[in-house]
Amino acid sequence: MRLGDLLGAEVRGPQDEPVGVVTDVRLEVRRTPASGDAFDLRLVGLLVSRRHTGSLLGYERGHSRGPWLVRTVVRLLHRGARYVPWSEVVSTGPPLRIRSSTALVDRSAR
Amino acid sequence: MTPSSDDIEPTAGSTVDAGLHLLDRQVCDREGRLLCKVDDLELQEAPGEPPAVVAILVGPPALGRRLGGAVGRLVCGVHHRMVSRPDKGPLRIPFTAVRRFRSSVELSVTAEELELGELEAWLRVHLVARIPGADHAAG
Repeated sequence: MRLGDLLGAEVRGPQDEPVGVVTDVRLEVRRTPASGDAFDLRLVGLLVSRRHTGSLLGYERGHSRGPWLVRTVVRLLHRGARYVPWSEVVSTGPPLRIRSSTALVDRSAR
Repeated sequence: MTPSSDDIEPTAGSTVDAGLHLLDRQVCDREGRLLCKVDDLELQEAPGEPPAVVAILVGPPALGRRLGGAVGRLVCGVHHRMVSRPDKGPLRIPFTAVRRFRSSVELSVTAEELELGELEAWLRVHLVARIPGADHAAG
């Protein structure tokens, strides 16, 4: 599986209802005491929005910086964007299917 | 950790957004030489575990597939025409070779160990060698 196959992928719920598109993939850094400086990156969740436009600027996420006008426009485009834990993904499709649309986590809480 | 930060220190438990923090970033070797850009990432699934990043994919086959559409086909088509082994696929940099990533991805190996010079080799044979005087040594 490639990251590029996930980015932009259509996301559907258990009743085949459209949920959005994958705008980014969240990875967690994992280290073990025995690994020294080495580390793993594990896929822990997906950022899902109604559209992909402007998402790679990152302005719609968390405490982003940048020109307020661009930030405001991108956040308006991505209002309602959600974080989907990888454990909610049933199949990568296409389309990518998730277990429950109600399990989506509001991205502003992440 | 804030995903929007430009400088990412890969501390245990921290998170990064792959598209924002890794894709299209500059890759540098152990000696700081600029090698390539991160065109895509290869993920490997394991039973009972979330997928792990196992390699950085580099080159037109990776970029073209990621871009998709007419532009992606053009990128792949040009690459197919240029290289001697078009079915070889994208170049892979094992993720175990990544030392850290900040505004760029820093490797723990050198360029020579990664065999990233196929494009340069093609240009040397098909372009530079045809320039009048190319067979004369400098100096």
